Amino acid sequence: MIQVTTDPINPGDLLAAFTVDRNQAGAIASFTGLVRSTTDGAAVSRLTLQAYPGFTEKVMADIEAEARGRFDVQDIIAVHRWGEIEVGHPIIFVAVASAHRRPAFEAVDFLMDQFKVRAPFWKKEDGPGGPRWVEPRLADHDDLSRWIPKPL
Amino acid sequence: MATVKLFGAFGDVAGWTEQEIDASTLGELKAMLGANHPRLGNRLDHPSTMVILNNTIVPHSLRTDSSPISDEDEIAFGPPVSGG
Repeated sequence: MIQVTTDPINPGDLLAAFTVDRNQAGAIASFTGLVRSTTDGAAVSRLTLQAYPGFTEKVMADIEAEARGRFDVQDIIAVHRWGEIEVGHPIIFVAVASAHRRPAFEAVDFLMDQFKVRAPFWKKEDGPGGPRWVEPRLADHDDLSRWIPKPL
Repeated sequence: MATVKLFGAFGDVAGWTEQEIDASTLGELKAMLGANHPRLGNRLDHPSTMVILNNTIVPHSLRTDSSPISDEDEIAFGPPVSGG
């Protein structure tokens, strides 16, 4: 389940709700991404994320479907916030339920690497030098290459 | 008229994020956008620029100036996404 919202995210509430009635699951792994106070040594006072409502959900749902096809998981939730977000507040919450722990850990890791590079959000950081749009990081693209099968 | 949306820095350069524009091809649309904002025009042709037509990404290899645009279309342009 994908949700894109301008409302604040409460990871505790989301995880508690996701955990209810999981008699078949042996594991739930989760990840919460927060707004950092510094980026590459520069102070950040606030983050503004721009989404493309409709299209952003579609791309994230495609990524969720890829994860379901790739890992032995029972359920996935990803909630992504956009708009103005203060330092220390959650941007994204992801949780995966599975029978055993390994697919849950791996699916969360995969989902975050894919969302970071492919989910349509444009990021603007406010700092001492004024607001600036953030370009993609090469390291994020390197993270994606972890999921490409290597030749034997 | 087609609905045109600009995301990220592109919206700041143009000074707007959504407009109805009368253009019959992608090339015509880009020329109109570039005529008003040369800095934006330069970016629209870049391979890394995202072009999204009716909620579907149009890869750089499939973009041609003669690609038709109809009145019902929604077309969006944005820099490469920077993640959450």
